[in-house]
Amino acid sequence: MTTRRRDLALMVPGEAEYLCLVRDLVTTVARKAGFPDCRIGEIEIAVDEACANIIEHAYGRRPPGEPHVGKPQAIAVRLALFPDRIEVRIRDRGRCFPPEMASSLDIAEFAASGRRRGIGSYIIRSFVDEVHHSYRPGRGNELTLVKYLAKGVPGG
Amino acid sequence: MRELSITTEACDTGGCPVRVVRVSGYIDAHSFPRFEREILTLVNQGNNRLLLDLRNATYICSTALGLLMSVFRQVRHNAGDLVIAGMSEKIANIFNLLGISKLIQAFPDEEEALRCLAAAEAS
Repeated sequence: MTTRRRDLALMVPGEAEYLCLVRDLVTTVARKAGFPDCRIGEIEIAVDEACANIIEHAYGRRPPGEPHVGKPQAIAVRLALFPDRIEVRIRDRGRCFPPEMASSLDIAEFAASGRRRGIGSYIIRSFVDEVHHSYRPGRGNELTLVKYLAKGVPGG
Repeated sequence: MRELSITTEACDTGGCPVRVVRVSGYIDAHSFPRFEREILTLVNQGNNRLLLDLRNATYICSTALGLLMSVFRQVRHNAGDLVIAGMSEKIANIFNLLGISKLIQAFPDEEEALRCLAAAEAS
């Protein structure tokens, strides 16, 4: 049986300027867990994309520099560190927003299309080993990203 | 955590005009609009040979990667090029995993990138 080692939590306003705090926590904890730099970068970008999606889609986009009307909505990030893996649980109180599960990306085709968006969903799906999403009306979304120390073949 | 800083410099290596764009700090959803504005301004001014120096870049989000792919397509269409210099191992890994490194050439430093751009222009 795997024994839980450590839990860390962070709550930030659902605004893009606070994404750096989330990335900083995730990279610090992943480094302490023993992930090498390359794989820390994979967790970092997957979590960042997931949180950016919440801000854009679950909470709706606010024009840069324009203040919130009322209390800004929060993003809660909880990291659970196990001997064999890191689990990042991301919760929001926005509308239902299951992540798109793009399982493949043809970058040449993407470049030829002239599109700029769409890489993020592939990153979330492929740069961590497991992705779980749930939604409860009135409670919001919960997205869990799992990355194992011994795995980590993106796209695998 | 260092916020985004962008500086640009016009270089001319062997008659090959290149705009060097040096990025420090992170490009995420917060700082992306500024990065996009700077890059698109350069392209719209007719700078079709771009060298993006990422030596001091700490993070690049997917939207910025998408922008780079779009700009790469545009400058190539105009007989120019977009190359990258000085990526960290972490960012280089993301480029490799996404296949971007198959399209956009990357070099260890600016000097090597400029030499390559000049050689391509001469050939």
